[in-house]
Amino acid sequence: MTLFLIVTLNGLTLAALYFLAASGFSLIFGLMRTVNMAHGALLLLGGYVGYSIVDVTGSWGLGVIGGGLAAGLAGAIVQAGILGWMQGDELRQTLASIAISIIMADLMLWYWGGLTYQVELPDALAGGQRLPVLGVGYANIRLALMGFALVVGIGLWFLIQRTRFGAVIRAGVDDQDMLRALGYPINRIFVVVFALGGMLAGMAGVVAASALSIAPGTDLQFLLSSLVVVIVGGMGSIGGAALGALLVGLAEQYGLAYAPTYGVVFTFAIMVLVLAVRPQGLLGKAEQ
Amino acid sequence: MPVNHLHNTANALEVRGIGKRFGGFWAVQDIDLTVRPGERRAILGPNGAGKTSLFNVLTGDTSATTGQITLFGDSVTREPINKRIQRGLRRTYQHAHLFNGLTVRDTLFLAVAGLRGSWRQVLPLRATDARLAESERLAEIAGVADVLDRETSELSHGQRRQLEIGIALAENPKILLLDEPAAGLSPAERPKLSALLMSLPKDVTVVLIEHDMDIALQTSESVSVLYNGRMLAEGSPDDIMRNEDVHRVYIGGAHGH
Repeated sequence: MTLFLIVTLNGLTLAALYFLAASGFSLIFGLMRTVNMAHGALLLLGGYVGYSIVDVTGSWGLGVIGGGLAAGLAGAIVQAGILGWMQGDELRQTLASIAISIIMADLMLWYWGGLTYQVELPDALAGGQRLPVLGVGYANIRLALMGFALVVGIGLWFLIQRTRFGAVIRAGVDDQDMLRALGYPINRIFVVVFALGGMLAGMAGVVAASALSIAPGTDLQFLLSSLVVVIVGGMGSIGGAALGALLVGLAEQYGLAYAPTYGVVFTFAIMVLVLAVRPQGLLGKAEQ
Repeated sequence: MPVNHLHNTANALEVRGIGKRFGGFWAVQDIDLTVRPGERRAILGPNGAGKTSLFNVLTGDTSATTGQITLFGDSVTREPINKRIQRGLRRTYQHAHLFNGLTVRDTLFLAVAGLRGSWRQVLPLRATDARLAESERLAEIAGVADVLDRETSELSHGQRRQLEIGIALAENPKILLLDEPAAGLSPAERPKLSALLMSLPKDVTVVLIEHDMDIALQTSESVSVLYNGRMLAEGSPDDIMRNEDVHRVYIGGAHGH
């Protein structure tokens, strides 16, 4: 029973991380049809920058904010400087974003080296505690991570469902041309959404570097998980990203604990099943 | 605005030698078209005649391969769609373009806010302000006031088409390009749409692609007929009804097959 609880909590932790990473990816994919293959690189950049900030200032909060801002800025530059010039040509954008991700990965390797980094935790988040009711001990940072993902999820939901800017994004997810025809400066909206997606990735990077660790290769790990989460959950939907992350995170951890040989298969079995039964994703809208 | 004095007498829309080529195929070629301010013009033609291609070029959805387009005396041939919209041009699409997941109220609000350039205000959608009142006024005109809080995906086909016209009427349009507004409507829904078209403000110029002869002739004072990407005939509805070429390719064709 204890094993099951711990594995479930681990699955939820992973799901929270996947959600943080995938929500930005999904937002960008949903609105612009851009498969941003540099999303993992943005996450890793945020993680590294966050690490360096925490290293210098000793403030974990500053690290999360700084990592988010750095990756958000990088995302805006990628969209405004490169991908925006190929708007509407999704294949070219995808290929260009692969190039960007490789270049970014090499630049980061050059600057931060090939070491594995773990962000030092503030006292409040270090250590662990025995959970009431469940009766198992669990690391504070992992609990905080779940809370953080919950706050980000609710914040995003509010932004998208309850604000005018969100209505513009929802309208754009549905019909870009019509939105442009109503006088919306869609290119600028794209840059803002890219910055937002990059910021979410960057914060996820810092949190990942705190709860787990980051190293070269972390970018690809989270890119792959984001792709799977968005395919399972449905593109452009925050609820979909949450559901997809939950399924993938739990499947991965249960698989690892109970069927280690076939652990990896579960994730992709879910993906295949969803693609076969509901190709637009569990909460995605069908293309018209 | 002393510079714009001339515009009062300028034609609403002037098209000279417009052509649009896709690869080796000319969708439209050598089109001339002059529409006076306030005129109601129908564009007829069988499927594949190039009506929608012509519209796409006029609105800036696609760029013209050849020719010149003038809106109220100003050349707009190289202008993107958002610039033409600032000049008072609005369009609807053959297949209703509406935002799924948004209510009628929010949709009209987005139209008003976007066209007023006030989209940046990130405030709750529920807030009441002048733009919201304007959205409700548009819903009234378009005949969708009773479904303001429904999502657009729940509307009937007729209501969707009416809402589209409501969107196009936001922020004082000067020229409306309507692409088959009656397409797919039931016989019961058609008179409602006709009435809406005829109730549009008289100073608004309307260019209308229409398959339904009755609606076209009822709502328009002049008709242009496209065939195989070229202008086949122009004139009053009566002229067009009597034109033998038109009968042969369009009316004859429509009944013959």
